[in-house]
Amino acid sequence: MSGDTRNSNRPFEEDLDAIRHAWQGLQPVEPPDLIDQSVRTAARRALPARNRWQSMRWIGSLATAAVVVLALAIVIQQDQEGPVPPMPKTDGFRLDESAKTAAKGASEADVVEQASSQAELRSERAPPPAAAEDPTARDAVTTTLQATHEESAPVIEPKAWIEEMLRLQQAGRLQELRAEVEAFRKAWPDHPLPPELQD
Amino acid sequence: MRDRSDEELMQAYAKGEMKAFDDLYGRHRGPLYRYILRQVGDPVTANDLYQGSWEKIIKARARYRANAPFRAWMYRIAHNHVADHFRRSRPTSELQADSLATDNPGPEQALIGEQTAARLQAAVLMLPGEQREALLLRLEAGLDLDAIAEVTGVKQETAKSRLRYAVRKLKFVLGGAEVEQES
Repeated sequence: MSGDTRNSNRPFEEDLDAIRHAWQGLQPVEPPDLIDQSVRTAARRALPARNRWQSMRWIGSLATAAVVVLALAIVIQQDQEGPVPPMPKTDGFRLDESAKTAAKGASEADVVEQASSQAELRSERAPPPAAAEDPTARDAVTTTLQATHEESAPVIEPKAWIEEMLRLQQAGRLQELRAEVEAFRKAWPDHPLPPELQD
Repeated sequence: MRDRSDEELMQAYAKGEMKAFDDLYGRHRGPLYRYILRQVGDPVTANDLYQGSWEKIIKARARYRANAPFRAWMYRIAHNHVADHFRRSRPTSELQADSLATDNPGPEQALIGEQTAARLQAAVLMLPGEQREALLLRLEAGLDLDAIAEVTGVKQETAKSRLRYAVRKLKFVLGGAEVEQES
């Protein structure tokens, strides 16, 4: 049986050898270079990231060193500049301070404005007899008007002021009128006065 | 220093050594390419399948175990890739084989030189796919019957039978009709 198998295998092996011999006569075909490169590139890309980054490990060390040097430079520079002045507690504190200053300024402005408006109101209304005869009150009004004219833009327009002065004249309050005229001339030196107020 | 075996190279590549892959690729690029080209007959298709096979090998590197022979493992991957191709589309190789086979020189010429090789190539392309593959695994990859059976996923007897049929048909082409009549 085994002899039969050997006998039957022998021609098969011989035939296979003959075919192999003939097969070797074929030109040895090889893959194109482009395919070779493509396969090798794919193989390289498929490598684990740690292997690909092994050659780039110095980048991490360099970055760490740069951070350390930068931190040291900052510390040394701060030491050379001397002690750092104490910082305000918060920015909110500074805001509060500035807000207070602004509020203070605003309140002062408000006082002046209130005083001038009060004076305006007082001058528009018929003055109470006590106030009309009280030189202190009159001086206060005059001073307020002057201060208003000196510190800021004129509050009372010349036309309204002149009308007021004419009312004073008609009411016979000449002392007040003189003061108003004097103040008007200071405030509006170029504005002409009507002839009835020029005396 | 002795050359590292295929198995050692593949393991080294799986661990990240690119040089190992280069060596391995240099060893097998020709035989694997011809194994694919002689099956499909068309260089363009062969290029695609060859590249695809290597990509699959690269992708499967982590699954490779050194106790399995590398060549059988590699050709198994290529076999599956080519089989997928044949499943997707009918091979055109038979048409090319027909055109090559119409050249019918006499038996004296058939035994020598390039004409013999060309006829043999045409005859191989005309073989049924399973027989052709078994023959190519023997002629190009140099695999024995056990490995051919493993690559193609059949029993050894089946692989042997396919190879026998292939050899018989090719001998008929090469040596005339008398061998076929005898068998």
